[in-house]
Amino acid sequence: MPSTEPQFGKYVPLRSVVALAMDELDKSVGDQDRCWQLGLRALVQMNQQVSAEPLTVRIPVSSNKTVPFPTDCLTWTKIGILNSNGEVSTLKINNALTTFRDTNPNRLSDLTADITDSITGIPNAPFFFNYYYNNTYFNLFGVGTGLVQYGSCRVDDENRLVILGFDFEYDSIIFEYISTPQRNGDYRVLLSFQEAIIAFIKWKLKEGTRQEFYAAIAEGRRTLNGKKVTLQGVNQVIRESESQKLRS
Amino acid sequence: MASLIAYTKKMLIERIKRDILNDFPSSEFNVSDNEMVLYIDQASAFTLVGQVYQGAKVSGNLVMPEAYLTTYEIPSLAKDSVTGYWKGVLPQPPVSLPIGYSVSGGYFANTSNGAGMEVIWIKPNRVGRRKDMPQQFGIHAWIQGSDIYFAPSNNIPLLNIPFYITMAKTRTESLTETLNLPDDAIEMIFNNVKQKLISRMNMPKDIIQDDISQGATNITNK
Repeated sequence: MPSTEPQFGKYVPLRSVVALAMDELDKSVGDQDRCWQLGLRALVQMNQQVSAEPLTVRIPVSSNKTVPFPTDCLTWTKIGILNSNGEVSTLKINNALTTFRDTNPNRLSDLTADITDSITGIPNAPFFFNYYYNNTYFNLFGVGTGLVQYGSCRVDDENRLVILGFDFEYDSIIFEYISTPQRNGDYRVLLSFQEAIIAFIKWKLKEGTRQEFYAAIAEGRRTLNGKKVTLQGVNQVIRESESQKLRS
Repeated sequence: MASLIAYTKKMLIERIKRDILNDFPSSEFNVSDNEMVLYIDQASAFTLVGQVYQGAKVSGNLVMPEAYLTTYEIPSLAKDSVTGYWKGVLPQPPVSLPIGYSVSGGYFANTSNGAGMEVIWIKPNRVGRRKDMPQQFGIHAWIQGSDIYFAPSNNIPLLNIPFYITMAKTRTESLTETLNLPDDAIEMIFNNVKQKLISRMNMPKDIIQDDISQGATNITNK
């Protein structure tokens, strides 16, 4: 008979974490579903706060220059395109872009311009937008430059769309986002947060406190991969923060 | 290892009869064995529930004494064509403890795969709202009376897959089966049944009360 014992690697099935909590509290199988629901609530809460690992996908741009969110998208973290080095070059968030008829396939033709003084030729980006006068760019002291960006977008959270400007010239975008917890037979939990989920279940069953839950999260966070302090990481921080600059 | 005598309900019935009649039962004792079994089963269910709640006072949690538990096989389930739920019949309705204690477990099993994962038990007050919540992958089960319903999360057919359920048994299969009781419960069941039978037969019993005072008398002790 194949063993159904869960393997404890980086991830652990939520069901196993719930079983550990129930075992600690000496609960019966009749409480399993309730405890699992509590565990899932803990997972969702922690996923939004600390434990999520962003997913990156390439999504094709629709003909009306919008991009639908992935169905499991909880919140986005980066919207951009890839450069030749495999880095994500983010798009400029331009909230001046209208959400008018953004769910309509005929969006582009429905957006009739009232004024026609927009700058053309943006596909030849990047432009240096600091100050432009008489076909010449000037560097103005004290004025920010903005980032080098290859297009602008606006996020319509209500309709779960990324709205791109008319001048966006690329077929797809790179979309990095926090997803809802994924099922893989069962939901998978980062092992670092096993104790936090157990603490949440105990808190909701009046066997623990809210403070214990947040303490367990803080403890779990310290063991996350991205939070680990390594020699090469410290070296990089030192090198990058050292520069010639005015010091107070 | 020494082999021990197996206690049966037949023996319990005999003991109760002899205790009540102070002798071997005669034809005047018109309580049938079947009637006594009803009293015994009733008393054992009552004793069981009491013991579980007594135990909770010690450990802080409800715990079902293992001796009451029996695993039954429910060989065939039928699918309700309207609701899509699968339905089976339990040997008896569970005792009045929360699910998880009245029924302490259940799983599907067959010879090629062995025992499957525990089904996901849904308490009666959660059956209605379970579809409004995220659902676990697995087979959800709930009980109404003697009927047990199953709803697999992936709609897998449960035809011809035997279901095994472990639950507290308080009824009688045969008079000669081994008593599935902890020995410490026999005393309570014995007394409970005896009291009921005495009352049922309206039998006179000598009451010896040594502590009654002599009382008033006109005979002097002089």
